[in-house]
Amino acid sequence: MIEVANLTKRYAGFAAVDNISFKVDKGEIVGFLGKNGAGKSTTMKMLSCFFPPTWGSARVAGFDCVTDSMEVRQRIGYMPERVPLYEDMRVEEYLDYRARLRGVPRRARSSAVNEVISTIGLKDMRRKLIGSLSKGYRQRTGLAEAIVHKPELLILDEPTAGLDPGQIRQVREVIKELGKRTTLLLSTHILSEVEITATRILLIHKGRIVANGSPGSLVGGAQSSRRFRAEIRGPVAMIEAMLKGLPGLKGLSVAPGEEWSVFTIDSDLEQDLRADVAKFVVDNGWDLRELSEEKRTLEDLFVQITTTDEVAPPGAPAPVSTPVAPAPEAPPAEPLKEWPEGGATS
Amino acid sequence: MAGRRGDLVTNLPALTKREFTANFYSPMAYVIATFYLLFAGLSFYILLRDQRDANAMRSLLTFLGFIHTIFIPMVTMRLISEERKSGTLEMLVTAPVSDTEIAISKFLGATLFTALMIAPTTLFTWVLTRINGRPDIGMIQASYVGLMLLSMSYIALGLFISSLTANQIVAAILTFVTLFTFYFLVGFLTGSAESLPFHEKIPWPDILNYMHFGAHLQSFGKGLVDSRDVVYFASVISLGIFLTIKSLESRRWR
Ligand SMILES: Nc1ncnc2c1ncn2[C@@H]1O[C@H](COP(=O)(O)OP(=O)(O)O)[C@@H](O)[C@H]1O
Ligand SMILES: [Mg+2]
Repeated sequence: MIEVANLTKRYAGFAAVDNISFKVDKGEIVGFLGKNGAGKSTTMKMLSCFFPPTWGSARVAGFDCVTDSMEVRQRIGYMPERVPLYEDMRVEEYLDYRARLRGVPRRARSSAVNEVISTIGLKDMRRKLIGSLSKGYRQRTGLAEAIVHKPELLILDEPTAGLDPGQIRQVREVIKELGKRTTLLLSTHILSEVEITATRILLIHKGRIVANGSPGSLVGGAQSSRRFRAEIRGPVAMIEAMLKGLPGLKGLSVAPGEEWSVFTIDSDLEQDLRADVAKFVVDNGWDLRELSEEKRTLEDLFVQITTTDEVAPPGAPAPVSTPVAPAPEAPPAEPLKEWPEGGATS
Repeated sequence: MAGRRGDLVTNLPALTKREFTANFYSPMAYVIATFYLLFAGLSFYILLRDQRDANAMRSLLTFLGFIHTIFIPMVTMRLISEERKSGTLEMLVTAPVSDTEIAISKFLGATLFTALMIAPTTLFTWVLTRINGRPDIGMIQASYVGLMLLSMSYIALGLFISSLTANQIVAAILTFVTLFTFYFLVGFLTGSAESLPFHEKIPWPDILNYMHFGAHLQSFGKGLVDSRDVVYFASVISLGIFLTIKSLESRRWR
């Protein structure tokens, strides 16, 4: 549904989007995750044909966003970050107008508008001036507009930004529903948002895609070790010496306490050291209060990746003078960059 | 979705309707229209004291053409600036409508609104008929054609200037300055062409006279619709719309 190849957008002096490539298949719900300023909106504006890339290409449903922009525009629904709407129109009137611009035929229009009004939960608001709506209902109106023509691809730029927790929950519900009907690309700087809704995550940092995969595979793939935590009462030095002899141990740190000490044990991925640790402790007559595995979360990963400042040196400088040519063979959609080694530094 | 590959006719009615009605949503429009009519009425009343025939209407419409250098910028300032500022321009240009449709619909919307604003002044003709019996209707009609063409030229230029900035006030002032230049300064320079550079080689008076709005209004005032004048105004209008389209497209290389 989306094929992006070497997409680059340069603003005076720097690349807001730097040579990114990815694919999105029909039916996927892809979360476009990155901190503010990472380049999410810029990418989406190119996909929605608002402006063309400086270099590289974006295709939607097989049509190029620059050369076949009308075809692309007809097939997408797009909600920009600020959810711009005509404040002076009424909800129903606006949806009807936009449906008309999107080419919904006259006879189908009122049923399309009615359908979307009930799907999105705007029934009580249909005659309200958009300018008088609460932020949550504004957002819903924007969503309704984006789907009124039943687009093949829905692009939502930070659809829950600026909402209160209750509204966020509601809008997420709506988005989940929409994801069942159409291919969805949704951007956010909040991790939990994509964890909940997306089947795949594209992590973008400083204009580059630094990770691409399902939430599960990202966490798994990023891990090169397991970490366990044990609280033990006993002679610290002895315990430490004991633990060091464990098979597959990669790291050990101790936080001695007055009575109970906390041991953080890193091991090979294949090893589950918990049984060994428990056995040691019991055999030596010490006490064990807690023994658990610390699951690394996507959150750790997100933080880890997006706080590292060194990103691979700027790649091939965008050949500005070269015409926007059809990209050579689209490179594979696999992660463009290896995961940084290791997890938490021991 | 079939059969609407950005062809000009499909979206133009919907867009134009929106552009036209959008005028009425802002209280500004009512303020402008009210002031305009008060102003026109007062002018007509004053003119009637000296002229009690069709000349009163001609003088009025010529005068309104001048006054429009102030009123039209207030109508055109929001056309694109407002949408740029609020972000709705992004929604507009990412919908499957062409930049040409956008520019023309905005031009038509403002033109219809202006025509509506001018329309009540036709009542003055009726007043004149009551006073005078048989005013020269042909002359009045031609003056209206002239005023409309002039206003549409203003609108096309104002539309273009509105596409250059997200600030409505800046758009209004720039438009006013531009229109004022064309209306007055060019005419003023024609009179002092001798002092212009290269005046031996370049026929400044002819050039300036051709550029000058006022020079093209004279024959309308005499009751004539001269095709050369129509072509002139049509060119200015086309230029304004063309520049607007280019300006909308410029997001592609900015
Ligand atoms: N019109 C512009 N001119 C210059 N820089 C811009 C412009 N728009 C965005 N940027 C910059 O490009 C980068 C990416 O912005 P954006 O795509 O909006 O990020 P995100 O949506 O991920 O928060 C930011 O550093 C931003 O400041
Ligand atoms: Mg953004």
